Amino acid sequence: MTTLAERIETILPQVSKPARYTGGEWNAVVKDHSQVAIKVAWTFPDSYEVGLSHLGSLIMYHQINRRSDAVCERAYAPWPDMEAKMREYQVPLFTLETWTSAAGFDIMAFPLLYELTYTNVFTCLDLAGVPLRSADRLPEHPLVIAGGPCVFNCEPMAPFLDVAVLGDGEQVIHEIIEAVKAWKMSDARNDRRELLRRLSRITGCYVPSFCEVEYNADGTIRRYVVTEPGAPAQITRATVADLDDVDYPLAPIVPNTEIIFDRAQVEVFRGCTRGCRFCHAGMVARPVRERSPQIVEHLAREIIKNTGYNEVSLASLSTADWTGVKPTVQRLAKELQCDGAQVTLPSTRVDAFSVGLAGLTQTVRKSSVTLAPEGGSARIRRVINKTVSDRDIRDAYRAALQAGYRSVKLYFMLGLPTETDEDLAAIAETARWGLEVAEEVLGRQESRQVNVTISVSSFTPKAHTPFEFEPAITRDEIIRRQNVIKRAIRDRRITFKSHPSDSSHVESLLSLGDRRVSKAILRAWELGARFDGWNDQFDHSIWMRAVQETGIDISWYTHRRKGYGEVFAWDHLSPGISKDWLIDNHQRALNELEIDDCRWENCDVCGACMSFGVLPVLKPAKEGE
Amino acid sequence: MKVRARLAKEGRARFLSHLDLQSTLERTLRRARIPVAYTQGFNPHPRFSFASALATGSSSEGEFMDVELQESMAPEVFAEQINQFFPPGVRVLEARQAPERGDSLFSMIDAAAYRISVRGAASGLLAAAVAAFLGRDVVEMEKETKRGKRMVNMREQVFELAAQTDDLLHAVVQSGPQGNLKPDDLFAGMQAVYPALAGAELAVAHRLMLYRRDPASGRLLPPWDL
Repeated sequence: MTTLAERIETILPQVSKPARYTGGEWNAVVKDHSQVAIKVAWTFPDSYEVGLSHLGSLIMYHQINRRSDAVCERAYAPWPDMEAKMREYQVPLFTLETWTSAAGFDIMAFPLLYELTYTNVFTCLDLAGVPLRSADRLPEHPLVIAGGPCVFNCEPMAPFLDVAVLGDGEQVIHEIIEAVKAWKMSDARNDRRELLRRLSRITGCYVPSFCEVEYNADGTIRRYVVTEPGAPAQITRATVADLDDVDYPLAPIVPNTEIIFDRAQVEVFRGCTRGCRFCHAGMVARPVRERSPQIVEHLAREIIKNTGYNEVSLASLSTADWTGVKPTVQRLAKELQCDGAQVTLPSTRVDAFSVGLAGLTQTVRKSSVTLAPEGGSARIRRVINKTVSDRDIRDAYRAALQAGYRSVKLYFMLGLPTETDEDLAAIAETARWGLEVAEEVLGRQESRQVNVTISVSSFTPKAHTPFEFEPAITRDEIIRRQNVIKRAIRDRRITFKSHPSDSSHVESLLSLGDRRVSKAILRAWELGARFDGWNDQFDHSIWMRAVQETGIDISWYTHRRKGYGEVFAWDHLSPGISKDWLIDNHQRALNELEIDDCRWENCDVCGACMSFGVLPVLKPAKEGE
Repeated sequence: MKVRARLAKEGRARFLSHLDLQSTLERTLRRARIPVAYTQGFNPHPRFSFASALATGSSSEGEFMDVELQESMAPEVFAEQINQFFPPGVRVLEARQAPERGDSLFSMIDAAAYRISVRGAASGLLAAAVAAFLGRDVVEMEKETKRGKRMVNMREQVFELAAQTDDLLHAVVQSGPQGNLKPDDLFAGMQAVYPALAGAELAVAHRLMLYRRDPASGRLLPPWDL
């Protein structure tokens, strides 16, 4: 029998983009496995290009590898051509750093960032030779854990996960590693359930097999029953109170091949309290915790030096809201310019300040600016609490055009609660303002070069948001509403782009599903579903067959309006906010009432700070440094 | 000033594509703080150029590149400094000062030497295939070009060919702007001429060197012997 390395070398010339699988990147950490107690295979259930772009994974890789008693290596879901070759040549899922079979690791950790990666989790487990179901795993199998935003409703994946880790990973990962290490050295090392029991005592750790679900006759959930004495009924999130207290990777891995976010990233704050009612990320990571501007500057400098990147992105859910943003961006942009490097901001808020800020960072040719008003009319924006006025939008256009942009991209959602055809027509009207402002700013002649692109995705209600009670609209209705917008566009300079409705249909099911949906996901994978987040890979017919065969009614999960009294699959997985607040917030949405941002205005008592004993952390930059 | 360097691309790094190698070099130059010159304009790029693109999956100890520097730097210092910052498998083997003017590195290349390892060839098979190949005047191969398919006589593109062992070939073939014979195509050509080789397959092609042909003597010389 040939060695694993030989078999990998044999198949690599036969697959697309072999550099995805070779490892050997600058700053990748290679340790001697005999010198560590705990080995973690960080398994990203999507392609290398997506996985290595994920900042959270880089942070966790660093957190684990800075321990002398542990090693973290990476594995990614193999592209279908590679999967086929791996099966043909009996190559198991392997880690990039040392080309070691993932099955030999103590922990396989899956970041779950979006639901459409779930089928890839099965590919990874199956290729690793690890039983898909938690119940079937033996003491010698790796502990299968998952983290990331999706675990706040991981019930559709519950049978497959040993532990789901809710919240910020930087501190809780060390508790997990300590617990696994202690278990491994104890007399209980052949008792997997004992390990789960120990882990269930850690804040943020959820052991799905320690509770059972009872259902009502109408199919809704009656209650969750804890079956393991001492396991918590309500799981709370792990929370880092102050980002300045946690180590940040100064030397992140630099890919040898092109990836999605091919640049240095510094996270400037975590959480967001703008309170957009559709936004899952803004609800599960409260409150806002900023990193100090001095530390951000230091990190940016060091990372540029240690990676050779020529771009550093100041990452967060809305970087224009960062207290220290303007002086820091100015200072860093000037400093890095000498090195031929630049600062960029990942997103632009819809107002003149933010567009101006984006202008500060521009050293490359001005192409297009992207704004996300999300809703077309001021009314619908009040419903979704996207606090952008019509005037903000016009100001943003003006600032963009004056800064030299000639192309504006606008992001909207359709299918929002209470949405009418007038709200949809307003999307086209909002785009038209861009041309109107262009004529004002540039004159008739030059304004002819200006173009506005409208990009519309369909709203899918997410767990833990005030819209969790709302139905998603049907596929036919999505198409009808897309046409309403298209018909309202009367200028050739406005382009309309829409997103495929088929995959958002499945995404809704996976984000709102419960434990029963797990059968359908597994069946879809068995039928060949892979890389469902990729338009060219997604196959709607597979999913329709899978739900039919497993008796899952997608409409019941996604197109049904839910009562305030209904028990949801995710109610016991708490990101800290209270159900009462969600209900109250939902009612205010229906009444078109906005909510303040607690960073600057009154606290709305969402409950997060009280749950974790934290407060919003704002850290202004020192002027004149 | 311009530095001309000979690079190795070995181990797992052989799976980097030419584009991957270029971006890796760009970042390595920055990490190593080499004072490389940049192009003008909105989107400045470091000024370096490769002699020739190597097929993904091939290893090499004969990649050549020219790097333009803003300030002068001893070629040995350049090599030592940059080698501390390459990812595993890529390194500069040798660096010399390059002429400021003259032909581009790309345009001067005429030939490449390869060591080709072969899997699954029975004893003596490779030597017999080499003899059969060299015995021909014409070995035709269909080649796809921008203008469609045309036939090429690859025999003319093979300057040297020898079986060093039962599973190792040594070949010097045409490479560069005048014409290019890939090791894969050469091996396929050998299989066409000598069908008994069909059961064997090319394992790894390793580029040993690039050459230019001296117009006066007709001899093949390394790219820095001008």
